[in-house]
Amino acid sequence: MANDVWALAEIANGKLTGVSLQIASKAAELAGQLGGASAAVALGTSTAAAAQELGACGVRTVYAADGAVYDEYLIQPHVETLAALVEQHQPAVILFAVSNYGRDVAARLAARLGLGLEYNVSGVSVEGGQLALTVPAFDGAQSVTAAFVGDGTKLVGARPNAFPANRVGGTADVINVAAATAPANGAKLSAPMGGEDTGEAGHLGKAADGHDIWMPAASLPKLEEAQIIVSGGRGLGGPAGFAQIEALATALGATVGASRPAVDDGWIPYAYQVGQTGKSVKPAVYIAAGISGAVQHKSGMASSKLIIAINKDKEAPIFGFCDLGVVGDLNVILPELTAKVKQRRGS
Amino acid sequence: MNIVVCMKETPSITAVKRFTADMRLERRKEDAEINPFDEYAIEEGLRQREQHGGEVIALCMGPATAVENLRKALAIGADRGVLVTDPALEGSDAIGTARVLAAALQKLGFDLALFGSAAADSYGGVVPAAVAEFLGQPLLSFASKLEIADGRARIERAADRGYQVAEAALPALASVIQTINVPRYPTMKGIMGAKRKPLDTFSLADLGVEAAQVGVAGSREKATSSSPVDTQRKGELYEGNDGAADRIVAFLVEQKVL
Ligand SMILES: Cc1cc2nc3c(=O)[nH]c(=O)nc-3n(C[C@H](O)[C@H](O)[C@H](O)COP(=O)(O)OP(=O)(O)OC[C@H]3O[C@@H](n4cnc5c(N)ncnc54)[C@H](O)[C@@H]3O)c2cc1C
Ligand SMILES: Nc1ncnc2c1ncn2[C@@H]1O[C@H](COP(=O)(O)O)[C@@H](O)[C@H]1O
Repeated sequence: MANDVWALAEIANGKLTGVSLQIASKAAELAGQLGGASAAVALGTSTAAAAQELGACGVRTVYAADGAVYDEYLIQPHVETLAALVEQHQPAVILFAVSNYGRDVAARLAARLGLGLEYNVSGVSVEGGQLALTVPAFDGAQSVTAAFVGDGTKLVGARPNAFPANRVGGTADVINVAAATAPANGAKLSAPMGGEDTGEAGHLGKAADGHDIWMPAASLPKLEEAQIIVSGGRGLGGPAGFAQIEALATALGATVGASRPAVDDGWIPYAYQVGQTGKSVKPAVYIAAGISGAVQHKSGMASSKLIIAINKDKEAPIFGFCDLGVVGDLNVILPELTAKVKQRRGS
Repeated sequence: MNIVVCMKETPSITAVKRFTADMRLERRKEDAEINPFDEYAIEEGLRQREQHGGEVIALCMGPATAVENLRKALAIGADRGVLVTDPALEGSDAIGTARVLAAALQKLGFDLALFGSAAADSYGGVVPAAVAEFLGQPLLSFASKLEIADGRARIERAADRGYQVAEAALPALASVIQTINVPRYPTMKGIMGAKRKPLDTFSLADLGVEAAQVGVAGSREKATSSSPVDTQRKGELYEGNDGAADRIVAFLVEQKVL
């Protein structure tokens, strides 16, 4: 209905993503402010479990379509189902996560139904019954306020961690929807491969072209969801340098991140890149070692609650936006720090 | 194989960015460069042509002055350039842009259409999927590897761990990410040769797209105000290796992280 707010949940490999809970929480809050009802849409497998978690974040209804087709084809079946739901119920707003999935679904939906689409949103409020969106611009140097023009459902793409996940408790009514049929002209998708969780600790592996690449342990938290991140850059000197990063991360219960040159030089997989062209993160603590602090890195991590930098160059830009800056050699400091953290934690 | 690479012109990373009076990104001709992410798409187009033969067309929607950057794509190795330019296009949003690119792709015909993963002026990464939707086609998005064989395009895309494989029949559309290749630079010979390569211009009328659906008129979003963000932090600076680890531990304890 006219004032309803929905969240498009994302189920990856049968698991609801953490950002889905954040946008579901925000949908519940916004629906309250607009005087409408909240709902989430969950498409894929294990939607019943997803619906439970989404309900606990305060959404009143979950539209669930369960089917292998959503894992077997890229995006088109999701758009098919979502477009039908939108035409039927005409919500005011749909929140989506600016992940690869969220961007692909929202772009197609907007093109198909002629909807407004705003992405990389870091804040949403209601002013005089209208949505006011906050969007970072110019590598985070400016904050823009934006609004939609015209009517119809509005699609709002939220940055990861823009909103907290509020597990307020509650149970959603689940409305089961028929799964889409396989598209006649579709992109067939395989299950993820080559990244099996073998239970192995982080280690130096071989990339397809034979060079050494650091493979972090699969058990580490996801970058977007981690409370503490230890990131390494070109200052690590090579893929083996990530052993020190991961040792500290493991001692802190943290995860591993990287700057773009570390990824471009094949030291660590792309999934660990933080920054404008990698992941945008907002942990409680971000520790950057051997990272200079270029704007493209900064825009992906500047909203971290606390930033600690270790760099041997006193003039490095990162010292201008950290809470504790240490001018020193990471090869000396990281192992010492890891040992001391372990000692304190008694592990 | 007929390969079309969609490339946007964006202000260089180091250019000073400003808003115009109506709150749009000011685009100065002297700052305009090929969107860095589209260099990977151009390179991938050239590599596919080297393997499978055919032609690479660089397609750009932008101001008339964008011919200079199309010329640069020709110098890198594209065979011809197509610029879609029209006063009515100014201020187009992602969906308006996608509508125009879809119409141009349809007019040009293609076996493979390539896109960058995002434009460096907005970091949207939404235009390629919207183009695919307008064409009723799948999009092989965020590819870190692309192979064409037996009339099909097959990509690898980075998952949180490992990768997924996706494939679709030709004609296919794909967007590519930074790890797919290392873009080449234009050579002197390429720069000289580019002057003789064909460069065509389309207007909206040529594409049969209505002005009301694009530009500011067709845009569904508008920026209303902006303010600078202060990201500087007056942090404590600790100098030297000695005692540094202790200081960090103490800081984490003070902040109740440890
Ligand atoms: C379009 C575009 C998009 C981009 N996107 C991203 C992105 O998403 N993420 C990203 O990170 N970058 C991105 N970049 C790249 C960015 O501009 C910088 O080049 C990059 O962030 C620098 O990485 P770095 O800090 O690891 O390397 P450098 O800038 O080379 O810094 C290395 C640092 O390590 C320090 N160091 C060396 N040895 C030691 C030691 N032993 N102990 C302590 N310190 C040491 C040095 O003093 C130096 O400050 C992008 C660039 C462009 C053009
Ligand atoms: N004006 C344009 N002209 C040509 N290609 C474009 C244009 N805008 C976007 N694209 C393509 O779409 C990709 C993603 O752009 P965006 O969704 O704007 O971040 C770019 O990397 C280009 O390949």
